[in-house]
Amino acid sequence: MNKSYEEELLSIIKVFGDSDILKNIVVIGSWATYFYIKIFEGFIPSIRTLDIDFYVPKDKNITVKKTVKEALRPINYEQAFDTRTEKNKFISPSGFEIEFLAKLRRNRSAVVRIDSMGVNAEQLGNLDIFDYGYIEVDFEGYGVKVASPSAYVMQKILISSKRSKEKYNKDLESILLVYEEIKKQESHMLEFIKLVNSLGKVSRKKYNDYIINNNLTFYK
Amino acid sequence: MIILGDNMSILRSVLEEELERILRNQTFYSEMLRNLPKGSIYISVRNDKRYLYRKNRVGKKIVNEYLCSLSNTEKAKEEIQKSEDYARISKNLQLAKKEELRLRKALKAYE
Repeated sequence: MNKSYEEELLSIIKVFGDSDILKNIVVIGSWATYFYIKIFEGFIPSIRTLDIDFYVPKDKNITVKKTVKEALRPINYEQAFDTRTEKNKFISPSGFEIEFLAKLRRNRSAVVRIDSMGVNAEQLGNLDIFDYGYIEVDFEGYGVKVASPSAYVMQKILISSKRSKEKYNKDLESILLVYEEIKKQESHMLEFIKLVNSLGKVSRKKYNDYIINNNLTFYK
Repeated sequence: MIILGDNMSILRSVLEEELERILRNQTFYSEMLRNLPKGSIYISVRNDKRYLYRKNRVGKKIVNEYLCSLSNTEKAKEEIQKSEDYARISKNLQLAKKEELRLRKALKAYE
């Protein structure tokens, strides 16, 4: 890994940790796999984006010492607003982009305002899988909540039909990499099996279709 | 960034995606700058009183715009913050442009 990217990640984790933001968020998306080097021996993650996604499980009763904007300012991030969609993200000149996501609520609006953190989190489907589907890893002394490998794989599968061809292929490669490691560890495999068996009818069909369409020898 | 495999098209698509992102970010920076006053802040002392001014170049002229007395701490703070924001975002825009050049150079290898 390019050292500067690792340093950038550490600086983000550090400012979020020091401002109590970290305990309220879960790293999801492909940057979650970076943390799997902590739980899978010899694991080499496949990260092809500078877009870091954080899932915010709760949008109320969040206590933080600083807003995200205040926390990120010292490391040169600006809050960028899209006035049309009300979405916002935090951008750095090196190309890193930080976005906050929340599960889809009944109102189905595009974003949910999280006042204490000062962010508009984009609402997306299939994210509630991370409400409990996360692990906590130690990263340079900071406890980071990261999508569990099983939840990571499952979420990528469930959203696959909405992905562009390019992203679909990138996701498939990442799914295969992580699933190979899940298979090697009984506790992770048991979690994956439990997750598959807990899927509703529609999601189970999506899962089955995905493994058939891609000739995967995954748990059925 | 960690990339597995040596497929040229994968590398190219990653670079293209990053270029797209950095161009988008440049637009965000430019928009932010448009909403901030241009120029540098300085303090002028007259009759033992301190006043805040903004120095700005308009065409060939240097314009000194009076902002407020430093005793008006709220307004002074706000103007100083705006000036700091302008300087920081301008610098970030320049850095993003450098990043764009770096990406374009890298992409040339795949043309």
